[in-house]
Amino acid sequence: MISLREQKSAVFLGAVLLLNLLLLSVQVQTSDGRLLIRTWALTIFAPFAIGVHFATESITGVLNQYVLLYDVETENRHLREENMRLRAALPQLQGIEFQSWHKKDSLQVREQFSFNTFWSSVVWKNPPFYAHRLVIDAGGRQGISRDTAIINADGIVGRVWSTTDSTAEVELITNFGAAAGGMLKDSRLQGVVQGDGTQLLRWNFIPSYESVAAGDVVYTSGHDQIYPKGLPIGKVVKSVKGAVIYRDIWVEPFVDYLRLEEILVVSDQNNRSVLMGEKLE
Amino acid sequence: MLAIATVFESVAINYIPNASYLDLPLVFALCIGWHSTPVRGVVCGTILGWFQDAVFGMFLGLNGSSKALIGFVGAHLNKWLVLEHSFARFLMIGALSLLDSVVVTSIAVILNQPLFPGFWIQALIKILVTGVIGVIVFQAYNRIKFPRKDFRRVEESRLSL
Repeated sequence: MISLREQKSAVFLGAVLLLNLLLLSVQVQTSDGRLLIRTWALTIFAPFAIGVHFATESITGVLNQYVLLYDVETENRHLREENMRLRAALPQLQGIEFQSWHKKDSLQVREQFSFNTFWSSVVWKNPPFYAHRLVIDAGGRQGISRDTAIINADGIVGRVWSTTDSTAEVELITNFGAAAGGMLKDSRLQGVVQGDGTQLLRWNFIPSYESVAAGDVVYTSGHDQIYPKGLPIGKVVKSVKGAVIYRDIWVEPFVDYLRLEEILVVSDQNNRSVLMGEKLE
Repeated sequence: MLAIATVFESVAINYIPNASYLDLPLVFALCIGWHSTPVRGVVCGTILGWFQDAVFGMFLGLNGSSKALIGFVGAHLNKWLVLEHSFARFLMIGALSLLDSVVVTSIAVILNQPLFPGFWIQALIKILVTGVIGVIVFQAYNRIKFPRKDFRRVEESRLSL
């Protein structure tokens, strides 16, 4: 029979060992640069977050599909119209793709515009005042790795910061220090779009003598080797001559990061044709 | 004891390359735990381990965990074992040195840290060196903490009364 005193000393030993383990976990980093304690926390709490997300989606799905049927018919009609328009445009785009890929510089075109995507859900968001990051329910098992691009139908969302087997932490483009190559479609003017921790982005390294007006749309340039070329980033909201040689330009992103619930993960970049469905050599 | 262990760990290795085989913090943690309560053994072992980690530039907590365990085990071993013979003490210190190596290695493996080659041979040498020096330190610690009484003088003073 173990005495109470011995039990207390054993509990004290357990507490000290746990303290040492926590101390180690805030020092050791995983191979993708994340603190071990963060990896352990995500591994432990991600299943709960995924479970809660699944439960809420199921409940809202049942409500929308079987109980609250208002606007279903209108939404259905809009989706049918959009589907019809897209299907009508598809042969045209396939023809353009076919012609461009058999030209001399087709390899460069393929590398810039061919990528595949798969859908994933957002299960966890950091408070926006802390860090602009979120967690999705896809990870290493789905082939996601660090610097994988994350987009949605409106534009770019961010890049993968670190992964576990079943989840991935995504750094939003609005996070302080996040960046992407940005360019204007018409003038091909190129610079670097950077997040500064607010809801607006800064488009840097544009010379003051260049013409950039409010309303211009900024697209990805592809030079960062992360985001595919040609994806929309946002719209210029303010452009003034800077104090030195560059302009001060603010860009409002198209993606509503506060209400983000589903995203697309870019996979097989440079390896698959979206339209033609064939593997490129 | 903390100062002696820290100074030895940081200075001796510069002049004696093989001094790293002597785990003085382990010996001190065992001494303290052997002659006091388990809680004191755990606390002193943890602090000695942290200083060893800091001196060697390792992650804090690696040796802290193992020395805490050594202090705890030493305190409990005192209740079960009577070890007055030097060889018995050598075996005990060697076994605890092996336990220390196993704990440190296990934690390193859990944290996905690589093991350096020849680890087990170094652990074996560490057992031998720490065991031998540990016995000497243990004897010295006992002599300092529990000085031998001169019973002839005690008897004479009693008789003179």
